[in-house]
Amino acid sequence: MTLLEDQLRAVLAGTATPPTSTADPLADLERRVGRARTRWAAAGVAATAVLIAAIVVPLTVLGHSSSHGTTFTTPAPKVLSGASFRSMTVAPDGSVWTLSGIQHGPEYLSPVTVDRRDPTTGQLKATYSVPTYMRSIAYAGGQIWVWGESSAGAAVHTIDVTSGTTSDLVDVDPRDTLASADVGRGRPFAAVGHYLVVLASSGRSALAFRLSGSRIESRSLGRIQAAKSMLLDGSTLVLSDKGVASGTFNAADIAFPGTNTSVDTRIFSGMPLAQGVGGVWTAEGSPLAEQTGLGGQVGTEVIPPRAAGMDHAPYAEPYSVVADADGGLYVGWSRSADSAAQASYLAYYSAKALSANSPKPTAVVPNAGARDLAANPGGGVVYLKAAGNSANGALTVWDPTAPKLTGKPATVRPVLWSDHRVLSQTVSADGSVWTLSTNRRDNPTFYVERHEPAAGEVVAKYAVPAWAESVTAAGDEIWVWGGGDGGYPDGYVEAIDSTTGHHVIRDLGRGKAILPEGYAGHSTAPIASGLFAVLEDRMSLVEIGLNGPAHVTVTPLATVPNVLKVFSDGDFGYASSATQNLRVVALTTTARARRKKPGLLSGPPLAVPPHGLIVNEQSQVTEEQSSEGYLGMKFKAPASNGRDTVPVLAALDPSGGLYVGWAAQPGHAAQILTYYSHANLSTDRIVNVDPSSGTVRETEPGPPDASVTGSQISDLSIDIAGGVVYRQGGPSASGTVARWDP
Amino acid sequence: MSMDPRLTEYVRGQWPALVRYATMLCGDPSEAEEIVQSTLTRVALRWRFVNDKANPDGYVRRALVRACIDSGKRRRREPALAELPDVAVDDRLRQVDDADQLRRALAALPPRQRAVLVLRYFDDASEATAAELLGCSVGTVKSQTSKGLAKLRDLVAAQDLMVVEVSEEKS
Repeated sequence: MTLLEDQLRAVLAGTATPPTSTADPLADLERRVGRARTRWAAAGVAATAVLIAAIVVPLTVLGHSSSHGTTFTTPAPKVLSGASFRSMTVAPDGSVWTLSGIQHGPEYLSPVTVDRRDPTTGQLKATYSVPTYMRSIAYAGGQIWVWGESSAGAAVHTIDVTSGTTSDLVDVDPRDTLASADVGRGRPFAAVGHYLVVLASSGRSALAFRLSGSRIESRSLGRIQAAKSMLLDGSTLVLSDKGVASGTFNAADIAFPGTNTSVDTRIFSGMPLAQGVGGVWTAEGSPLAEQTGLGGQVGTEVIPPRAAGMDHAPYAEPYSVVADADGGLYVGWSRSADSAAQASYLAYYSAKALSANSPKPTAVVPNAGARDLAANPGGGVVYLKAAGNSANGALTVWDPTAPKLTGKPATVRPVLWSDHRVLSQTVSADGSVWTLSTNRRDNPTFYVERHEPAAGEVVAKYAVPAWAESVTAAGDEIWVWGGGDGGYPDGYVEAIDSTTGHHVIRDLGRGKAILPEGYAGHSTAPIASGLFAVLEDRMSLVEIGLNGPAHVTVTPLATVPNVLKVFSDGDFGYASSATQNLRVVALTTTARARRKKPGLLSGPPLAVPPHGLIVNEQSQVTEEQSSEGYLGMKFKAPASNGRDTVPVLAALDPSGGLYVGWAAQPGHAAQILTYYSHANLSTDRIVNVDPSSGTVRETEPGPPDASVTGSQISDLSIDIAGGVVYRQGGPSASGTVARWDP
Repeated sequence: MSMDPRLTEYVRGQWPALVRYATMLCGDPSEAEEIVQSTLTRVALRWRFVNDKANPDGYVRRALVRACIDSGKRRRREPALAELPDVAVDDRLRQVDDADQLRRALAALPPRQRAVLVLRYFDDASEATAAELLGCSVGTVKSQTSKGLAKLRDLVAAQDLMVVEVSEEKS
């Protein structure tokens, strides 16, 4: 034991328990649990509604647009300027202002400018040079405020919106540095009259600045332990205070000179984010709620949209909220509880949508990467769309209130992403694409490669035994299986730690190998603990997992004769059986017991959305539930060489869109991929069903949003960076991987 | 549906210890409480999966370790050295300062390394247990422990150096 180790033990043992900010942590916890349960239940209801809405929609596909008319789609965001901007703000006179700058270490490469732009075209109207260390801008009291910090100290700079005259303040008290993290968190400031208020000094206190003539003055607002701020009713600045009960906000006196640090308090359940029509939009954890500011809730509560993939992130917080003049609401949902994260899912809720019990988005932008969200004077919202991990972003506008009329389905070319001899591919939760490849047809060697999706480069390569058959991402591991040679004549399964590359292998033994993959079915499905799989006897359903880092376990779950293929929805494994005319059983992989009664489907399952299975019924994709049967969705098959095709692949993307792969006949690989966006599937215009009687009145269908043809398409995987990744090529070792993002 | 009484009882008794444990793991007292709350909420929602409901401590702490690592990966942390005192400390306070320097250095470690050290030197977890908790191999635990200690040494040495430099500058 070294001295350092001894010291470390002592330091750890001497760690004090920090003071609890919540008076009753248990009550707080119970409230959170209750809210999460309510939200999940509501999310289930909302998702069911969306699915029921979608399943009554008979959609025509390729070549049918002329006979079935056009469809409305949500306009995509439009990049006004692709230049790299650090910060953006909007002035009431209808101008958009940007701070340029290429990040280079703590400062920016010159020149750095503040630019005035047209909110509709992004055209440059005026430009002002500012010091290279300026890092953020905001509008307040007729001025564009610019601030930043260099080794010489913090500096504040103003530009008069009307005259363009400028003022400077340098040498802010170094104890009140503006470089704290709070300044960059999206709500660092509030404009009050002619004042700009910033949070400063790592949440230690707040500062107010005002322009007096041509001079900028500053003063501290006292010792409030401020973390966030919000301007209410255009004049009252409220600051959260760690020193008082949760939900209580200090209303600050921002006069020059000031008197008290707090002149009033407001009570909210959660953090106020935006002024709404009936109250203030607040967020506590995930849901947004409209409150009066006196502890009362107006009534509307908005939960994270399930399509955004937020249902598994209980503390996803709306990062940025903007209410529009028509009573609508823009919400940037973030998957991270860290409010510094960019909004990965931008949703618009119309006033009508907000009047519903469980509001659903009117329009969405997946993978928005939005920050600095603001109402755009030219319509919609304007924001900076970040690319990758860059702190900068492109100036982007989105106006979903003006739907566009579109006609023919689009054909989008896929990108051939890997020309290796790929046998199988998968996408793991970290966004990497993993392929199982081989080097030659005779006496081949097999290896698993990890690709970074942005560059398409191989960043890791692992040799695996022959004859490897397939690769799947499940849990934190990448699973490979196969056998027949390479020391495992009966079959093996291998788990590779996707973080460390550590791998462990298990010889499955005679008669216990995993059923080979075929185009007709999947023999494994990912579950939280590993794999749900059917063995080569076509009847043994097993759970394959890890017991510690060095031991692969194979746990029998059930026996179902003549299993065709297996699926999972994360919690349950499903198996379709040939002898029982496509019987589907659902097994919980945790309790290792049947939890659902076997049901019957009218066709082989293709995908498992939250409340049913998408199956292939006589050349049609339908939506069914194993226990309740047909629910109604039908997609008419596209034609190929004058013959109808059959659906053989399906995958749901995080935004609620659906990819379907169509083949010439059952058991064959797909030749055509089509994509139906969430907006297409849930367009009000084509939803028409009587839920009580189940009567469906088919109205004008919409065509798919995009389609592409390919050769022997298989292994369809949703790429979390957008689009799908799939394999092309037959069962021989000549496959390629392509990526398609319509 | 309210929380299981056994979980309620557990939270009531273990709350301070869990917040303290999270403070060690994440290096940030202000964040520790939020992580504990969010972790306990997840545990409550997944209560049916907890095997030992009479004593969920192992399950909760395991979840806490992973939550702190995930949280640490998300955060952009400023270097701990930025918060060094700008004057040299009195000798009588030297012992306190050493512990403080070590605590700051620990907070500056990458989240996974910090978790390994907490598990090994606070929980006295074996390498195998730590590997299982962290979902990695024993070899990774060994290497992360070694790297973590080495980095601690470097960080503490750097802080000493900066204190001396500042002190000399003042004089």
